[in-house]
Amino acid sequence: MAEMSLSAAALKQKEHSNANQKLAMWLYLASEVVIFAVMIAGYIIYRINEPETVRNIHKELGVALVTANTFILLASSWAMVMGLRAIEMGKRQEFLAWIGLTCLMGTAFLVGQYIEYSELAHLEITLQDTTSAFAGFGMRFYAPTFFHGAHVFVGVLLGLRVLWLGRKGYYDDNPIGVEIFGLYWHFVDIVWIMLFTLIYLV
Amino acid sequence: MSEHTPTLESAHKAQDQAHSHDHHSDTVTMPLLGTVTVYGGIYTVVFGALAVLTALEVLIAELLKTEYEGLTGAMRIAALLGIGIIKSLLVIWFYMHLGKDNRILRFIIGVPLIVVLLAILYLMAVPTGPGGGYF
Repeated sequence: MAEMSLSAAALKQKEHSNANQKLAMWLYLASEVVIFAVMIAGYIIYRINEPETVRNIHKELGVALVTANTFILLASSWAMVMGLRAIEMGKRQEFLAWIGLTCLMGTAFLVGQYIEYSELAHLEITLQDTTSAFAGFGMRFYAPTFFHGAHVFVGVLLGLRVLWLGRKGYYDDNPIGVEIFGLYWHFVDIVWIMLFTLIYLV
Repeated sequence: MSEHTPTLESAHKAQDQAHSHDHHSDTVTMPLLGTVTVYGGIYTVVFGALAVLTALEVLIAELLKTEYEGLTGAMRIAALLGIGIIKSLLVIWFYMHLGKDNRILRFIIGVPLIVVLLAILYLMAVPTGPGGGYF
């Protein structure tokens, strides 16, 4: 009987701890919403005031590379949630494979972004450009996309940490750490969904 | 300890299974499409929807790529933004489990979203011209 009470108490403590960690991550993500919104607002106003410039930039850039990159990031989100599903089902090896794939696709996304920045450099689109045909675009483009890329980079590092701990069986009994990492990764994916639509398509 | 006394480990497993049983099923029942069995269940179905919506977005943007202003331009923007928002909601609801988790989390992320949306609308409404605008 005493053991049952102990088990119930431990279970309740685990529930509280998991709920607190999830709450903390959502609060952090709420703060991120505000930061990204400021940058997105800056771009929206530019898009409204300079439709011709944006049209010309879209014509120069094309959408092939960024569309491929978008598919990679969407697939990484799927891999992430499949990893969570696997560890919840007690399949540790499968979980490690999915999280490894998530990190790999995150890295591929960053490589794609590097290639894109190289193309933009050839068009002489820079942060402080105020004189060329694309004046004012650089800061409004690089700030949100680079800030997002930095989040992907941090996400890959966090993913590698999850892999490292997961290998040792850290998440076998309580996969909340994987779920928390997943919340971060999916948020980064959502930010990209909106940046892709607003900056590259609209 | 009797044979039926729950241990800590079994209690944890039972709780986890009850919480996420539907997320582990490969069979998904969807409106219009009916019941589908696919590896990964709802997660794979959502990924399929995200891929199709992204392809649709790019198609719309490319078909109407000369329309940046006027009524067609506005309709193009509305369609693209609508698809982008649907994609975001799919990720939040299914991958981030906001549909299943405590409702307070919806307020935590929903309120800042509404506030920043109002702020952006305000910035857009400020008239441009001599001494005005945020451009």
